[in-house]
Amino acid sequence: MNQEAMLKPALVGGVALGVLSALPVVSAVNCLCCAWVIGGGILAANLYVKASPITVTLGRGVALGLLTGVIGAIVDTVFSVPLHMVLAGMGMGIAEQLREALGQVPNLPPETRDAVYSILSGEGSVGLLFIVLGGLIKLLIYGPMAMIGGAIGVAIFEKRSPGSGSAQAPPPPRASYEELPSPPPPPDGSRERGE
Amino acid sequence: MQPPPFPSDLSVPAARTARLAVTAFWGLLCLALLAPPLLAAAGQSFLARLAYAFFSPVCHQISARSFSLAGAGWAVCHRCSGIYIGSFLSCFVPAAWLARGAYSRNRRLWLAAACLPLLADVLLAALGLWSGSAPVRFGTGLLAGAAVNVVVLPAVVEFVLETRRTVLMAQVPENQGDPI
Repeated sequence: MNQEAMLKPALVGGVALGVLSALPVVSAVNCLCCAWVIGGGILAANLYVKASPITVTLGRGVALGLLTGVIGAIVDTVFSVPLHMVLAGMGMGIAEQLREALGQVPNLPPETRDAVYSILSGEGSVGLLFIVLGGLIKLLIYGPMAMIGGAIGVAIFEKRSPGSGSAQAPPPPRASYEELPSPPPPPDGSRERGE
Repeated sequence: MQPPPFPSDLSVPAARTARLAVTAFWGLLCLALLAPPLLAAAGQSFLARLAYAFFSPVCHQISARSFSLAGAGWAVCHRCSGIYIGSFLSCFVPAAWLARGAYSRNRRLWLAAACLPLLADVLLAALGLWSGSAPVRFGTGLLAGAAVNVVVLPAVVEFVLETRRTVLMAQVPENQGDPI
């Protein structure tokens, strides 16, 4: 199994976790220790173990989970853009939520509050800025969490013993110097001349 | 056939570094759980809110279901606190025990057995058949976190060693053989 073989399971797991984590109500399941993210890693590991002709190591599960988490964070962020536009149209955008949250902070200096409000006045750009920042934070969270999912998935679904499978068969032992055939004699009569 | 690189290769500095990194990650995460109440107590309510916001994607943060410090709740609930602390504590399990657990044929069985109390606690509470309590939520989280990290820690070490091996193999010409 090469690196390309990891891409398909990682894409399936990543898209699944990204879409489920972006949907407004369904994403609440992530409150259970990033259940969708860990689940995406487990799903990718399941698909990879099924497709692999050789035993999948736990380390490979971690790599697969990392790739799944990165794909999931990108999918989640991309899905957040139309969602943000819909919510902003309904007056429930990120800028409105931030204004509301800032209003609840009691000891924020007035100049800081004014500065943040002036930034928030640029509606669309603020929303996109926070989506990009949120995407970076998701990348930091989803990567390790999906890694955990990948490792758990391999631990659960890989039932073959380490080293089984054709690709991991041991190479034939190297012949020792004694077993090597003797070199052919030189084509000319140098041996006779030497003697 | 390649033997599992963990724990036999713990003598390799990369393996020790990877194990240390995982331990530091869980340790810092456990310390970060206390950051919001400590920041709030220090009068830094904006920073405290930011710290709560950082953990909000991974936990419901219901204050009645969270440990409190200086009058404010930890960053995550009892169950999540148990998972993080259990993961951190299991980093100190001897390497041979970790390997025995991670590469055991029955690893899926004991992993399921360790996570079953947590799942039962969640499901029974969701169905209204069990109200649960803070020690139960924390304890089941502690058990599940420790068990999961027994698999995750060797997996990360193995990942680092495999990556290192691939990088070194790419650097060394073919006729020089395995650099490790």
